[in-house]
Amino acid sequence: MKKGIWVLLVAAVAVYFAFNPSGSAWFPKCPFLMLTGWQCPGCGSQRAIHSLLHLDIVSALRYNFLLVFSLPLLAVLLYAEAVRVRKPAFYAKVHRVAYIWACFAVVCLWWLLRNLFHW
Amino acid sequence: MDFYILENGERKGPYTIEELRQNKVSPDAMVWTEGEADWRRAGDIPALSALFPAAIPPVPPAEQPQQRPPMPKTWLVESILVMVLCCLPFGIVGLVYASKVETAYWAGDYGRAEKYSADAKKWTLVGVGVALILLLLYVVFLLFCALAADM
Repeated sequence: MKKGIWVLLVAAVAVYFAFNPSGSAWFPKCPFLMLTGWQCPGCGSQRAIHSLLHLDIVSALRYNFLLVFSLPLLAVLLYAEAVRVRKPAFYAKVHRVAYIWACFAVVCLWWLLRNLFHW
Repeated sequence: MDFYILENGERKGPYTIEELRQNKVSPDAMVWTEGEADWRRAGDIPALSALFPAAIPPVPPAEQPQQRPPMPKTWLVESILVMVLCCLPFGIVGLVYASKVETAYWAGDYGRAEKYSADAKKWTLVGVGVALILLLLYVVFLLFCALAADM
C-alpha cells in the first residue's frame, strides 16, 4: 500500500514534469470551473506543479498562489503523519483544531479572492 | 522497669528498655516483666511496643501521569487535498471529522477519537473515489471525442 503510493507519486511527478498541462487536453479539467465558470481553490494546480518542477516559481505562483505556499505546510503535515506513532506529541501539536479551521478559512478566502480579482 | 529474657532455657537480665533496644531484641524473644503472668513474646508486651514499630505500609507508587496514546490519524492532509483538488464537499466533511478527532482526543475520549478518525477516513476516501470516477469519465469522454473525430 505504502509502496504503491510512492510509485504513484513518482509517476505523477514524471508525468507533470514531462507534459505541460496547459498544452494538452489529456489532463483533467476542473469540473467546478467547467460548470460554473468560476475557479475553484485548486484550479491551476496542475500547471503550477508543472512550472515548479521546471523551477519556474513565478509562473507557479501565477497559476495557483495558494498551492505553492501550502506545499511546505503539506510537507510538515506529511512528516507528522509519518512519525505519528513515534512522536505523538508532534502530531498532536500540528493538528490543533484552530489550525485545521485556519486552513479551511484560508482556502475559502483564496477561493473568494481569486474569483473576485481574477488571480 | 526491668525486663528478663528467656534464652535457651536460661533467664537473662534484668535489662532496661534502653538495653533491649541496643541489643536489638527480636519481637519473638520471650520476655517477662513485672505485671506479666508468664513469659510472653516481646512483641506482645505493651510496655515494649515502642521497640517494635508497626511495619510502615509501603508508599503507594506515585500516580503515574497517564500516558496518552498517539492521536489517531486525522486524515487532515488527505482532506485538504481532496478539498482543494476537486471534491470540496467531501474534503470539508473530512475536515470536520479531523477537528472532531482532535477535540475528542484532547478530551481524553480516545474511543470517540478513533471513531471520528474512521469517519474522516471514510469521507476522504469517498472524495478520492469520486475524483477518480470523474477523472475516468473525463478520459472516456476524451476517447469518445477522439473516436468521433476520426470517423
